[in-house]
Amino acid sequence: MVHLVTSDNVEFVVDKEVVERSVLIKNMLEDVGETDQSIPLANVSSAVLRKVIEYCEHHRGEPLPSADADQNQDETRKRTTDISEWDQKFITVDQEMLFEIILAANYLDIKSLLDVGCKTVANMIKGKTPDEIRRLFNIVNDFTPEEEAQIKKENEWAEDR
Amino acid sequence: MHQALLVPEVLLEIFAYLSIISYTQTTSTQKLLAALARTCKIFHEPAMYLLWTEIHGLEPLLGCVTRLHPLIYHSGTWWDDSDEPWTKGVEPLSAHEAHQFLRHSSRIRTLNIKSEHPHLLSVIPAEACVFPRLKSLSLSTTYLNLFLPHMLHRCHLLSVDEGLQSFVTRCIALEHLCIYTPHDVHGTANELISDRIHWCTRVVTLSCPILD
Repeated sequence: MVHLVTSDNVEFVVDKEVVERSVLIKNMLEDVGETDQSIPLANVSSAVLRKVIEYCEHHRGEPLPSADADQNQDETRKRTTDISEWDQKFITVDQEMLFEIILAANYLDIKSLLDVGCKTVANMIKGKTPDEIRRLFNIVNDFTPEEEAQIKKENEWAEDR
Repeated sequence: MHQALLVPEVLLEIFAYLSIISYTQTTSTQKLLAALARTCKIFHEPAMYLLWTEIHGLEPLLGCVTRLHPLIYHSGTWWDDSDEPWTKGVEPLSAHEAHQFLRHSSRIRTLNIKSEHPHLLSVIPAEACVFPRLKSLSLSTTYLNLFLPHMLHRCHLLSVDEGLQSFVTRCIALEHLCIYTPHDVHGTANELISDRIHWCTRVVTLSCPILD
């Protein structure tokens, strides 16, 4: 079993097989060997880690992406653009939690979870205008009207015709 | 904005999925990436990086030149093969305009060109590396050889001419070469290919007409 301590100081005791879906933790455990010491996760809160562990538990035993797949991410993506039914249900959370899961997956290096999160955000963006995207994610438009007009002009070839 | 959207690698992941997902949607991938590019400054660079990955024709680059923009987008004849191309009678780029032309060329990794606008680009020095990231090229023009990166891996040539000499000596890393010709080549073209092809020392796959 592996002991993890979150940013809000909550301890989780998790199966090694489960927690090793995180490449970061897997590498840590390989470096330090068997230990009873807790691993501090300063960037992950208990609420988010609970969700991450739920995901890792469900996908326990599934093959991890190889180093080759990391190098050829586009090819990997093309094979896995769909989100499974369980993953879809799992990732149906509020926007704050969705982005926290993405940050945690990026930090803990759990590629498949990062994929699910990023695909979900991509699905939210599709078909939207810049204004709609700004409203969706509470983004401030930091372009001047002139800058925005210039970008639109240079990318005019990309508009539907 | 959530801090996850401030992480460049996360943004690239999201935008890359957008490219794939939107293949089947009514809104094109390019339109979505163009929308993201002007959403905010944080989104701009990763969206432009993906938007300008693959370009068909030189018009997108030439359209960045202020003088040419209305000619390209409002003539009603852009990208077509009419007898009256929009370039007819247009003055070559000035040095300042060449800078505008080059604004996004370094982002391009795949380029497909059939049109001919050689006179417009006469101001760009041949030693300039216009497409430093280019990895794949479909080419039927006679002048662009001069601007190719040394690390080009794959090329589809749509015509054969004297430019083949500069092409094979410049692109030393070429691994996949495909030479298309409308009919069986004879005479000069056949000799040209036979003579120059041995310069491509790293070629793994070669597709070309039957040579002598």
